[in-house]
Amino acid sequence: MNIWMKKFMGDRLFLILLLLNVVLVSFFLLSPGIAPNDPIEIHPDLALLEYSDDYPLGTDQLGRCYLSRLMYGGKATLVMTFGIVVFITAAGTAAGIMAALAGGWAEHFFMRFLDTVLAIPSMVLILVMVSIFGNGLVTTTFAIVSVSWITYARTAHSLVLGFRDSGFIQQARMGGVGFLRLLFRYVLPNVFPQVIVVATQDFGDKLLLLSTLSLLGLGAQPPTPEWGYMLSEAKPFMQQAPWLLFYPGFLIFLHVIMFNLLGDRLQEVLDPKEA
Amino acid sequence: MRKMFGLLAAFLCSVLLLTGCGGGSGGEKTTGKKEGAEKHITMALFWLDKSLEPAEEWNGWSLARAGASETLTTINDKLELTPVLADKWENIDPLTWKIHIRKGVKFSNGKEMTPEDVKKSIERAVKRDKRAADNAKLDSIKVEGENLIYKTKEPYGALMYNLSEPLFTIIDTSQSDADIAKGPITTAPYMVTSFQPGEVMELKANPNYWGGTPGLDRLTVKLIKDDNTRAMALQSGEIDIAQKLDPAGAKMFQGKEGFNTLEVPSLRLEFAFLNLQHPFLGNANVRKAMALAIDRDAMAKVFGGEACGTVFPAAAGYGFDQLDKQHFDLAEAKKLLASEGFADTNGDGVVEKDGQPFEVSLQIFKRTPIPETLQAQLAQAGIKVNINFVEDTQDNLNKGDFDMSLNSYITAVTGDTQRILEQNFTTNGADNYGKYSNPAYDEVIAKMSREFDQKKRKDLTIEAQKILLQDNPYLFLVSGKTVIVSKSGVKNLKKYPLDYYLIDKDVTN
Repeated sequence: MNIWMKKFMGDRLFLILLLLNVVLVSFFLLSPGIAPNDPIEIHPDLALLEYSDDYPLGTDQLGRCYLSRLMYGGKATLVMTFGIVVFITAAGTAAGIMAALAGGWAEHFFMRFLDTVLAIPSMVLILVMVSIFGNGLVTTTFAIVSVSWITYARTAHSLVLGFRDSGFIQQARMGGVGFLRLLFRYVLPNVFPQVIVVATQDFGDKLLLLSTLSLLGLGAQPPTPEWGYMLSEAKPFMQQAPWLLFYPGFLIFLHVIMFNLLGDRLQEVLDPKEA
Repeated sequence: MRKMFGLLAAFLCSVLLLTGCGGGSGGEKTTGKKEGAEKHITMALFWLDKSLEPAEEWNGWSLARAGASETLTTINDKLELTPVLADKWENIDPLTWKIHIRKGVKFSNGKEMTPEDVKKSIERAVKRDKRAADNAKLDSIKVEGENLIYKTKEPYGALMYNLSEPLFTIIDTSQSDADIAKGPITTAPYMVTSFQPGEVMELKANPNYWGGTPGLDRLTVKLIKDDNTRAMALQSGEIDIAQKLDPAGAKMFQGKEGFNTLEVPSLRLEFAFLNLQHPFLGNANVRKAMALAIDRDAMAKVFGGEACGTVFPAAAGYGFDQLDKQHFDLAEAKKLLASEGFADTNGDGVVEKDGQPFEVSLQIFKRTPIPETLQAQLAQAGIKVNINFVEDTQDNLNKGDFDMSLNSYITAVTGDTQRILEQNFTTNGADNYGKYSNPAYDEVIAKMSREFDQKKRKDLTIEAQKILLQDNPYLFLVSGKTVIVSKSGVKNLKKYPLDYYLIDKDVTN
């Protein structure tokens, strides 16, 4: 752990990116405290304002404060994305490690099953699931989770395979190390860094996927503000009020790129070749 | 870093794509009007199906919009019943009509239209389409010289109105069904020359038209479904007429040089079905409170229409001004809910009764500003509404599996009021999904069926609305506007309240 810390602290670009990401995310997480207005209160007389003192980024078609909606929407989007990524990382990694450690026909069967699911485009699977279980943020999240953990399972599985038969594992096993100790002391530390890199890079992907589904009307349901949904609401006003499209679009873009850059840098920091 | 620049470039491109395309000042890329030689207009509709078979679905409406459909009667721009292919008619007895067919009318192929052709067209429509059968209530038709003797199954005062529905387009039935689907031969000012299913139809002036020379030589009718795209096509000069722009799109053309905006108060009512089987919604006072909690003026503002509050919008002229319509009074709504035992005991903003929170679902199939406005307004009265977006609400309606369901209907679709009043609110009405039932109301509608006098039918329409406004089986919300924007060169477009009329013989450029 100490070696990593040193690596992290020694990389200025990584630290800057990390700081920016933390600032960005905390800004949206704190939105209930700092948003200027109620994001769902409508004012028909104030619809589609460009900007004013009370509404710094203007209002949408129902006269709701756009800045407040962006902030609350950011919170909803980021919390949901974060939840998805944490969950699929944990579940996928656990499943992958278990499969690799179990070995034998169980491993074989499990991995072939994952291959089969992966053969179907994930977007199609998600759409099918959403149309069966009805749309809404919860079902959409569930659908995304249930198709996305597989990537992590495969990553973790192949990582464990790389050292499963190597000396230190064999020795630990021969030395009578219990399963949990083996897992936490010997296996996880060798899997975790790579998985974290994958997860960080994946954050942007999942944010985009969630926004795409909301844009199609399958994710967040009104009046919950959510960036993708805000985009779809703004579409008819493309010419009259282009800023309604610009703000959420820009925020999605910003978060995707920031997390991708952080993930890339993290990979470089952790890359043993460079050391 | 290179990746970052790549992403940045991609972002800039997408921003340009999203915002940039609106810029142009609409270059004069006029499609028709070449040196005064040929008069040609391109029009974009929001709906054009895969077939032009008039007696199926809404295809007749597309033909009517293109000036390629004629029926026995029509409803003019003042909503009056007007003779077309029938020039006079009379009631012989409550079940029998004598309809005189206009002489000297020719189909576009030069063949004379006979009463026999009319009979065959109507019989064919009734056989092919359920909606046609419901509208015609046909028992039998006989040809008697220049007249048709039309017998209905039951007394039906709305008959001559209903025969104006483009389902009953009079066609040359000697054509095969396949040919009719590609372009029926009619007596209308324009005839279809080619048709690409669901994309575009080309028409030219009917050389044998009986009503004078049509104003155009050629007409191209395209399908552009998306409101935004239709508006942009008009800006870019690709089309001359855009039918039915949404309020946001319409605003871009208002007062702008080079364009004419035609705003027609629509007969289309936006409303919410209520399921009277729901424990709370079954209570008439609760429904009344809900109706009182809705600020229709505010809703109309964001929707781009007018407050309605009853079945027939002001434009239909069925007692709008004399009725005590559903209106906004939040204090009264709250009082009414309280008197029914609803109170917010746990301070979460939602009222409860017997421990049950007042939480209902609202199913929608189209995104408009209405659902969220309704949600916010009912929340003021302590009613929590969960919006549920579904692909198709019809299925749940049929099963009775809904609390509230948003929809919109053209009321007075053929200029007559009976159909919507009967189908939606009578005990056995086909569209009475919420299971509303009031014997007094059913009696009024039964009386209406037997009534042939227009003045008295109107009085009955008002009486029926009065009962509905006491019982509040639906939430009547707002009525929209049909906005048609055309290039200023296009002349003589009329404001037809029924939006299946658009191009007629007078339109020219």
